[in-house]
Amino acid sequence: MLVTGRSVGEKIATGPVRVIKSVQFLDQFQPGDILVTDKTDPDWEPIMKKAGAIVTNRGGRTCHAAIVSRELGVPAIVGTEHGTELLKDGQLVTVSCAEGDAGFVYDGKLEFDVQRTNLKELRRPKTRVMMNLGNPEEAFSLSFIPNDGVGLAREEFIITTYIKIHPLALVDYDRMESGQVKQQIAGLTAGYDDKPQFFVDKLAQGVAMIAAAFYPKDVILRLSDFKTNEYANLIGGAKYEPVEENPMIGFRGASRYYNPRYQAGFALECRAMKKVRDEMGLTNLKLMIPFCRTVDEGRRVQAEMEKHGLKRGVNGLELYVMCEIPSNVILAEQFADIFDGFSIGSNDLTQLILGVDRDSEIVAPIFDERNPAVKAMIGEVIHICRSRQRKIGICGQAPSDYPDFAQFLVEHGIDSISLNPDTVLKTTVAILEKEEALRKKARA
Amino acid sequence: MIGTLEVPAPDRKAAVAPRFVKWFADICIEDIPLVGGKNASLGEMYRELTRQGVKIPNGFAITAEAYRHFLREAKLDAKIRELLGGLDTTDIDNLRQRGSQVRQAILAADLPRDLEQEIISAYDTFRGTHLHPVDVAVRSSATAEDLPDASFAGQQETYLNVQGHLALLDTCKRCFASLFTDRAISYRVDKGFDHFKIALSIGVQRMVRADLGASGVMFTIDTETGFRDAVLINAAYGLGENVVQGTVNPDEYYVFKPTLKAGFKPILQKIVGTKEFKLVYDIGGGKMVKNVPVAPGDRTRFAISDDDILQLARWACLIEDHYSAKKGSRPRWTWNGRRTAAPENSSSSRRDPRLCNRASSSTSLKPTNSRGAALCSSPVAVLARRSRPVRCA
Repeated sequence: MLVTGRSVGEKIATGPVRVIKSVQFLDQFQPGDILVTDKTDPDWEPIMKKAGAIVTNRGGRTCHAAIVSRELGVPAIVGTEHGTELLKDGQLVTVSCAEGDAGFVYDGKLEFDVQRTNLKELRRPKTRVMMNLGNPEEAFSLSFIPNDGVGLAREEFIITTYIKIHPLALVDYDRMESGQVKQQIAGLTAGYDDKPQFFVDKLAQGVAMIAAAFYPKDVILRLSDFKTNEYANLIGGAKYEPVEENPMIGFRGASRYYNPRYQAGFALECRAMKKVRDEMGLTNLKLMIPFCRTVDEGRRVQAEMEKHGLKRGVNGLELYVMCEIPSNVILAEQFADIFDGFSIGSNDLTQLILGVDRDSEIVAPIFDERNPAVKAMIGEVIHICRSRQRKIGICGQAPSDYPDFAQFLVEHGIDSISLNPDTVLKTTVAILEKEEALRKKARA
Repeated sequence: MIGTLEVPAPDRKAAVAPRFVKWFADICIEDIPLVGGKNASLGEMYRELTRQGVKIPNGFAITAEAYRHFLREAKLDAKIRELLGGLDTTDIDNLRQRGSQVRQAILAADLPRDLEQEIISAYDTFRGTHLHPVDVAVRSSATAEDLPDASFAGQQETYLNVQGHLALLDTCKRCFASLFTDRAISYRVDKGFDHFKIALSIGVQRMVRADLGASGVMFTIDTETGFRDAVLINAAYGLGENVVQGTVNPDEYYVFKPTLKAGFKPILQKIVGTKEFKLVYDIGGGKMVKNVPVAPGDRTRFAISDDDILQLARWACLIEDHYSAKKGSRPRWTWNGRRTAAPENSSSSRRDPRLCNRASSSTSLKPTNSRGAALCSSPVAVLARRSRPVRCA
């Protein structure tokens, strides 16, 4: 990636760079060139319509370059700051505005696919088809894909991309020794006197973008689910995280939230969620607890959330639990007593039922969601949820990768299937077919 | 293509004194042929939305009829027709030469006395009991009789911080001349528009000291995705031209309309822009305004407060609701207006924003249900607010 800025349009273009610094050099421009300049004004319009794409150093979403390129249907990246210095005349580049709010200029000609689906003919299946979403910048545009909400919204992208700092480092900022880390944090949180508030605001904004994009449909947000090694990689994080041999089954998920080692960090997450629900009015936001090993942990986490004003049932707050540990299935009746719904995390669940480490090349091939043991567990938990009138969904790629697996879930009466956005349409079509087949079978 | 200069039919409104000036309070959106899209839109908003709390500084339009009167009285029509007669727009030198001659002719001509008097008298209304000349923004607003919806946005000039009778009259002439910039002439020839069926109205509006605060642009939908439930606001320090022209990288804010209308405070996103420069009033310089660097500490801060962001978004909703109710399912108006927040009293520390100065209008010819077109049919506003009290120098 050579240069980044705010993207305009949703297209991708490839062509040679033409750096033009002033209108007197407009005649150097050839149709299809990638126009790279400081900024544009109406004098530039004659070549803007011939450009393959436009890259400017300056400007925001509403500047001249953005407005004109949008009208012309030419992809543009504005506000790159150093585009005219970093891109060289004649250099072949790919300009991508297809990746959300940020636009990227890549070196060389990159391959890409275009998929077309006629949405007008698409009916809604009975099984709710939801989306997995982690990047708030994509939320608005993805909301146009026919969907029933977000089955898995993640915090992790927001934290690594917008916040970058370990929550406890922000809590301890005032007590922190001066040095590189403190300096880095000061830079990122410039404008914030209250450092923990930076975490709360940024997390709330990221989550709010997703909740708003799909409002009033359900958006189920999974609370933070980094492993300790991932937390340690956040700025100032190493100090707070133990080094674990096996982070996958270590200090993660629910076990962190009530533990004094992370409690103060979890408090910030709760404040952010309260802000989104109570201040912004986005009550379609539901919260989900990941990696909840025991029923007692579920209770302790809920008690912790109540301390911060997030009480199940108040202001329509629904609490979900990830179903990703065998204990969640085995004690599903008891988990159902304290949660409104379950979301099957098929990756972790398969891994823990089969005892397979997916990172081990030797045993990885054994990993398969369609293993009878896994299917038996999933079938059971769907059954229990239905009898207890709890919602039950799945968030993972298995239903989209394996049509027979989707059929299995639909047959068992799963409420919702949450997928990566790029597979939502394809899988919706497949589910419609399965449901139709089931209806025919029932009639016969 | 050169057409004939039509003698305009007497306008029933023009029969009422004053003939050439219309205050915002007397203008509505149907007046586009007379005052151009920007002024019509500003008048419409001033008239209809002020009572709902949207603050728009007052102003008046010098009508298209005034322009035609000027051309007639100064015998410019024949002269311009002659100059543009043998025009070859593909020959850049020819275009430059003839364009320059037309503009020189307009600038050299005298405005008719009756027109001058009306402009001065309207301007003096702003002044009230103030001793110092009032600062106004002067913007041209082109209009075509047979193409009231055509977009001429960005083709004409804007003058900020214009003070005093002579400066105002001179600026008006420069606005009229701007209808004949090389770019505008060539645009009309390319589009097949008749030079003489297009007229120019001028908007004169009280300025507010956004140069001491911030300003920007807002859209009632997300421009990138066509997502309809969010207001997008761009803001930077100083006068709004920098944001409109893309001279600076502004702050970006999103506000969610459905829960905002329900009384919540849904600022979905706040991204700080680098805001390198701000456009401020120049004192004693040759130009009326100048760009100055922004202090590093201010650049990392947001240009406007959360309360201001929410206030602006509420106004955006009011404006959008007003236009969609009025226009029904027809393509909606695009307008951009500068919104300046300026207290009437320069020593006050009031911080309320207000809408002002510029409103261009154009309807989208594309269907509004496609995502790409949605942005063309959405209201746009330029906004500004004042961040701190002005010192009385």
